[in-house]
Amino acid sequence: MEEKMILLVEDNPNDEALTLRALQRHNIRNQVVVVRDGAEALDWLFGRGAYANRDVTLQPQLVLLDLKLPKLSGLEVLRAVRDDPRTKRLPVVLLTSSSEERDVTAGYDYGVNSYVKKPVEFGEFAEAVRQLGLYWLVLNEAATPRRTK
Amino acid sequence: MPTPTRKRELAGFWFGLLVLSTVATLAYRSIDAAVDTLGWVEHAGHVLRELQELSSVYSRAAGARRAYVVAGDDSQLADTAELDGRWKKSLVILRESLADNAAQVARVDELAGRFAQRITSLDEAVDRRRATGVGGETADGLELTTRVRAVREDMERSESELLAQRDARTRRDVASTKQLVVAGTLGSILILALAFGRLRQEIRRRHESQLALRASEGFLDSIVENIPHMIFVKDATDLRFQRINRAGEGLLGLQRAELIGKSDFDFFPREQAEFFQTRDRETLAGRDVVDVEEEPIQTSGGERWLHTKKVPVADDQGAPRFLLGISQDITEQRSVATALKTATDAALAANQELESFSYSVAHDLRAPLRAIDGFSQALEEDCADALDIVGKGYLERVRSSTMQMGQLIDGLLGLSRLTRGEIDRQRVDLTRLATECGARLRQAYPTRSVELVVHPDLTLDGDPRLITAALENLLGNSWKFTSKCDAPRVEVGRNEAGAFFVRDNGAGFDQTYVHKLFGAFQRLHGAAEFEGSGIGLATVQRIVRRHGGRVWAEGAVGHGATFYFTL
Repeated sequence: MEEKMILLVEDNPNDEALTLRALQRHNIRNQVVVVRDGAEALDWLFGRGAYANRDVTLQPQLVLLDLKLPKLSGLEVLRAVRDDPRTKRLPVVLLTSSSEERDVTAGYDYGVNSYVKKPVEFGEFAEAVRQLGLYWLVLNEAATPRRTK
Repeated sequence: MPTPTRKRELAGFWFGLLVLSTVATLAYRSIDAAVDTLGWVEHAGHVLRELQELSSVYSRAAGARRAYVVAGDDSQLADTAELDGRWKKSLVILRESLADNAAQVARVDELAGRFAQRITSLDEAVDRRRATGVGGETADGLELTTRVRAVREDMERSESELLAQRDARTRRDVASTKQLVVAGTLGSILILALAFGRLRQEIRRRHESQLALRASEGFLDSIVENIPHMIFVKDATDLRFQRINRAGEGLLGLQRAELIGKSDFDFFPREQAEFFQTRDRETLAGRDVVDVEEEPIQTSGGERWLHTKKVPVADDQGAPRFLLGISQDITEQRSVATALKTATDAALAANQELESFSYSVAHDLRAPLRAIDGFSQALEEDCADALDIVGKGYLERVRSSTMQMGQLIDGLLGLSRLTRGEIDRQRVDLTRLATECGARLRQAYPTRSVELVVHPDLTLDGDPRLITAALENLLGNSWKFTSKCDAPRVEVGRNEAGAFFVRDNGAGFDQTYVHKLFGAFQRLHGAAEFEGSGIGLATVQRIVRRHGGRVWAEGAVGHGATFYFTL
């Protein structure tokens, strides 16, 4: 059995609930780990602080990373993830509430895999998450450490 | 290299010298000749006198002997020895004097012979008288006397002729010398007069050029003095002040008498003086203008900021001799510039703050909106059974309102984005952009049938991205406001004055409220009549203004609207 976790980094409980609901409604049954700020996200990924006992060999299949986060911003988290050999190939999708180009450009500069504007309309939002789920968790295998790209 | 004028002057000088020396030489020689002639005249006189002396002494010597022979008086013979000595001496003198004249010498010799012969004959008569007591003269005595007179007269005549000849020659010489001296003197006077005239002219010329120089110096001086910037001149070697103008005195608060001959070290703190002199040396070494944009100096009137340009002034050989400095007092300008910069910085900061504020407002507003919309839909989907038709209607209103608010937020974000970034100006084909934009609108509103007329060859200089955004808003407006028209028509073109326009035959607007047209969130139509966020025209205006252009509108209710813009 493969545990295909999704790490959701989201401080807004509403967005968290809507995201979880969207995943659920589209039959994405993966375990979703939710952390609420950037620092906690990094602690979880690298097994530090409150997550010192976590088995860090188990990495998520996908990180849904909000751009605006307390403590460390989404972009800072992304940079730390890309800088660490253990996580540098992790699929990361930035979630943000605007398509402001500076966010997009900065995200791609830091090596984000995808970028999704959190839609106000639920259908759009659900569709985006579904697309992500299908692509990363169902249709596609995540990059293994052996694969070079 | 002598100039032609100098060559002429030199030639004139040498010619004058030649004339004068020729005249002098000729006069000298002529005088010499005259003096020579005088010598000859004297000589001739001497010869004649000697001849007379000879005749007279000889006559006395001969007479004494004859007297003795006649009277037998011994006393008659007392002087004969002395007289004989004298006439013989005279003969010797005459012979010497006439040594160069063979004819005369021959005559002297003849005289000497005859005299000796006669005296001998007389002496014999004396001896006979003494011995015999009988007197009597020999017959040849008379003939001798006649002959002696003839010879003597020949000699005199010859001498006189010679003298006359020499005299005539001398007169001729003197006459020609006189002419020569007169001519030479006249020539000299002429040359002198010419030289004097030339000298006078030269002196006058110099005087005039000196006056002109003084006038021009005075003119330059008054210019230098009246230039409202500090002007100073320093010696290239020791960097001491050579000159300073009135503005400089005023600026430094020092009189020029206190400044001239002094260096920067006499007035400014050591560090500052070193700074100035380093710049001076750089200027002189580089032989080029050095521009010191801003330098503060301490003066009696407080700190002044100067903008100084330093220029090396070279001599004929190209070696720097002076350092010329021009300083402008920019203290006031500087404080104005500083104030302006502070204000600009503040404005920029405020603008940035506003921008980041509006960004975060727009951004943060979206989150609750998303929740409202999301949970409304969740309610609709998950709890459909618990809601009746009225409840579902309310939910529908909630969701359409959130959607509208989402559009407003997007508009706001778009508007704030326009204030950022540089304008990337390039040639823009407005005809093509408008046509493409029309095509997009047709696609977006497939049920609408709008006649779009785009004039050909419309080009302008602008940022293509922003121009496209402006066109989209303008054409979008036209599309929207012609929705209730029977034959909607939209025209894009350029008028005679060169302004671009977008014209439609739609709902138009009341010209009274034209000033509200371009304000954000300002709407002249009710939301039920025409939907819209009220941001479109504000966006157009901002784009046009960022290009330095102007936008305005004309319209009448029910008769369409025309939006003009220039870039």
